[in-house]
Amino acid sequence: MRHWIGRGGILLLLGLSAGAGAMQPLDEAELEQISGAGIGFFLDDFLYDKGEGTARIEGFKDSRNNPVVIHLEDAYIKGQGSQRGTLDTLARIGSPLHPFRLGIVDATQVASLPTGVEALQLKTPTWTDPLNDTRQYGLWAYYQGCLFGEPGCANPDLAISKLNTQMASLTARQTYLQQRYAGVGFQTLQQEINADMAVVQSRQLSVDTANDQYMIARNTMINRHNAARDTTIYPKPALGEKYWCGSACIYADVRDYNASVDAFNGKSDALMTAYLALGEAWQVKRYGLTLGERSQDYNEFASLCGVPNAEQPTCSGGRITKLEGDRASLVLVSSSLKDGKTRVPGLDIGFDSVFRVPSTAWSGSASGASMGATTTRSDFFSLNIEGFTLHGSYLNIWGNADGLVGEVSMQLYADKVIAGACRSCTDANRLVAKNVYFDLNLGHGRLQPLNFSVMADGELRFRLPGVTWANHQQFYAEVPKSNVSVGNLSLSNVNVGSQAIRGLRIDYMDLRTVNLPR
Amino acid sequence: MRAVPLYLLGLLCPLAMADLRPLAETELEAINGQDGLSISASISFNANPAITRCPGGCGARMTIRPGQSEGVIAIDNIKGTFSFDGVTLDIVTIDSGFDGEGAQFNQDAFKLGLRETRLTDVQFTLSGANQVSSGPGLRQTDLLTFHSDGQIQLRGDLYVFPAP
Repeated sequence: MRHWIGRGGILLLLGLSAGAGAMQPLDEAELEQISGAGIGFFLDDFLYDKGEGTARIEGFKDSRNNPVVIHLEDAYIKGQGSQRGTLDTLARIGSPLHPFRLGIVDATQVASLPTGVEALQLKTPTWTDPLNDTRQYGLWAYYQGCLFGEPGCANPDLAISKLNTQMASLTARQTYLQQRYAGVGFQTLQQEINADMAVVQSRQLSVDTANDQYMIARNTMINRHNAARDTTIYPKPALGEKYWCGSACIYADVRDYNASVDAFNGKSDALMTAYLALGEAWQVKRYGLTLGERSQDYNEFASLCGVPNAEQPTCSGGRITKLEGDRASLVLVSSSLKDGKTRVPGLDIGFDSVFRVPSTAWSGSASGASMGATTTRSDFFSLNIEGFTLHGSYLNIWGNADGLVGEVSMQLYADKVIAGACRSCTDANRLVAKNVYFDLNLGHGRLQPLNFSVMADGELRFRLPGVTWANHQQFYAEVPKSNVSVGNLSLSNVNVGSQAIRGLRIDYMDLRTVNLPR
Repeated sequence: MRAVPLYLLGLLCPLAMADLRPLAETELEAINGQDGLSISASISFNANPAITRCPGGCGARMTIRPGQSEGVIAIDNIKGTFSFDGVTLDIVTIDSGFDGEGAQFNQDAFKLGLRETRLTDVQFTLSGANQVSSGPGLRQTDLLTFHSDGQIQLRGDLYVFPAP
């Protein structure tokens, strides 16, 4: 038998050497493709349903030190259109041409990384068309307000007309301000404000000084009032009023107090005079407008159009320019929708949970309530997310002496988020948020690396180092901002409208867990 | 059969090469794309009663040290049985489907399929700890414990491939 094995081995070797001649070019091309590449992956036909099993989360305690167990009654991750998990819609997360990508990147590929650092990058499926580029679609969805495709929300241009309405009111203010200062010019306006503000500032200094002296005089008066006698012949007057003997008093404590009242009244008058002078400085008029009005107008114009760079400036920044920039995205998204294009389906995620917490019964009126028995109450909480996507997010991480360092950009979008505290009710009794977009950017590799570590006592710590004087200019220019927007929010059928937080940036954060002693 | 002297092997080789080379390639091509591997597995983590830190003994412990942190993240007290039915491992060529992306993609991918999962009394605790070992000197903050029991539906096909 041995020789068969022997021959087989040699044949295999020969086969390989012969094969190498034919296969070499293929191998190299393939290797070239693979060299420096990362790994791509995607999930198809995916479905998670808690089904018949039980699931619970433990580890929490209530105020009476009893464990709180959260029982998950239903939990699912399915494809979009699952009708909150009732249908077994299969999900596809990523696709062959738009996979998750895990690879190594450095400063030449990602500008925010420090030189010499190689970071592990996880990138979620990324599309560049307007409907699947979360930044563009999220912006459009915020202006649109309603969920596209739902009854009464068939016009994709609604977003644009809402933007136009906003734009019209902003440009009306811009025109008004430009006409108001047409004969002056905005740079002259600024120079004149600066000149007038110099007076305001020097008078503000006088107010500060007068205020300090006023406070000192007042404290002296209070101290002397406390120390001064209260007898039948010298009954103590109210604070701020003098003893009857005026400046001819025999006793030094009474005399000193009377003198401190005079001094206090003098400082009080001086402070009033200083305030009046400051008020007058704000009232200084040029071409019929006070400094206060001119200053407010200038700031409003700068906020609308950016800081003026000419006497008759055009908009170079500010809210109008930003809105104009938003318009481009809105037009792209709405025309894609009108062309009948659709978004890549997202995920439906949700759970129902039950937990028990202590509940104390109170009786009687609000002022004289008496405490009754404490029982445990069973509470219900459900969360459903429809059409959730993470497209275009990334995480870059590497390690150093601080622990795990990184930067993260999360592009979370959901058609609908429904939170409920009632088991058998409709959305009319729940919190319903539509067109929810979280554009969260935390950390910047060079200027503010997000830092995650476990401390020596086992506590977790998340940290974003603060801005410093040395890097503040770069910091505010380069560290990305975060935005949160909700197209429409309704709470138990009360419509609260659209909500947005734009341009949020964390200057400093230090978040750590603490093991509570109870 | 008796051992064949080595020189005979030497004679056989060129012949074998001439005959087998074309066959080997076509055969290899033919094999490509056939059925992969199907596995059913059941993995149990039992509690060790000798470790009294957890009620009834602790299960498995896994720690991760983020960067050069002083402490570690611990997935502690892993207990229970994970059963997977119908796990498939395969190399497939994606050249169609996926809303037209398959034809454009036209590459091989490693495919890991999962059809059914059952968890029997599975639990684990997510914690932060000061040291890897659960021995003396351990300071640990348990964040939460997840517990699950019974048939769950977890299925999906994971495709992995080199990406540019």
